[in-house]
Amino acid sequence: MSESKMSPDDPRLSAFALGELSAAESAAVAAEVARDPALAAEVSAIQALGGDLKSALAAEPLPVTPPLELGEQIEFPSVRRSRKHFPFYWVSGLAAAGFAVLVLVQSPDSPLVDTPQGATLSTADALLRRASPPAPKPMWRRRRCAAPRRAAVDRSVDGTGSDSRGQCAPVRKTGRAGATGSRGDRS
Amino acid sequence: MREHQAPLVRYVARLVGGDLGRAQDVVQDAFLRLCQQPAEEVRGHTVEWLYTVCRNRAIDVVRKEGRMRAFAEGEADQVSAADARPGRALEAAETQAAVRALIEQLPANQQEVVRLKFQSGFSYKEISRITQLSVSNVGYLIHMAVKQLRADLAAQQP
Repeated sequence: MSESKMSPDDPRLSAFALGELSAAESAAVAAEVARDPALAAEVSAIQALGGDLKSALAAEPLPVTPPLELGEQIEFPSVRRSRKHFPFYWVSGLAAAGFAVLVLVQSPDSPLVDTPQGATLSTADALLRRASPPAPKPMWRRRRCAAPRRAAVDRSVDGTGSDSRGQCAPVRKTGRAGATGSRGDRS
Repeated sequence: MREHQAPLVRYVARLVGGDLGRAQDVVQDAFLRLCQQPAEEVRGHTVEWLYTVCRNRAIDVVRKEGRMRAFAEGEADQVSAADARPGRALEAAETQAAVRALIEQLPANQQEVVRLKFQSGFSYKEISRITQLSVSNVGYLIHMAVKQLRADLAAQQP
């Protein structure tokens, strides 16, 4: 005959009933409870009261509290932790690079806006112009004319010949003067 | 975290003699301190940390104002008189209020651990850290409270 060593007044019985014991302690108390119906009844009563206490205290009204005054800049640690990984340095770097490109493009001395007519190019146009290779030199040589010729003045309308200030149209070394200006641009 | 504000105010109010305004100040101060804590120091036990800070601050306030109630160990055997118990016949709708009224009759230290256990859901170990009592003492206080409440409820049965 095995005699129970645990008294109903033992605080371990409440701890066992409320699930507060370690696995080893719980196994030892469970063995005692299994041997003694009085202890088993005690455990059931404690668990039932625990349920009543939880429901009774859960139904207790909460006090009305004003909002916490934590300030605008203060965050809870969990929030602060989650925002710590946001790449602010990436955003600031991109913003700085964009601003630098904008300043470079908008500057009157910028090589990106050095157009013959002094017109302002868009950012995309300026970048494309800068990135494109220099135009090949023509295979013809210029020569000075005493007076503008009629044909050259006519061709100046489409930009392929001389202008009205006396510049001659380019002339191929082996061809007729002013006859192949547009073809020479394609070579 | 903010959902713990009202339960904390209720907990602290009991420690400072029912002064809700003072309890609100204590809880507000605890949340401000929480915001200044490195996340690594409170991670995983933030609520327990809040209760601990609030309790310590409440005790400081009460001591400062000379309204300290006894929370020291060794007072677990103090049981108030049973003559102020609620009525004998419990209506179903009034049972919970009656249980709370019985809890109010427990000694302060038992009330505190009972509320931390059954209302706030802390374990014995967490209650031990909050109240700075030993785990075995927490278990003893809860055991005594449960025993008293069972006797009181049995006495109210018709």
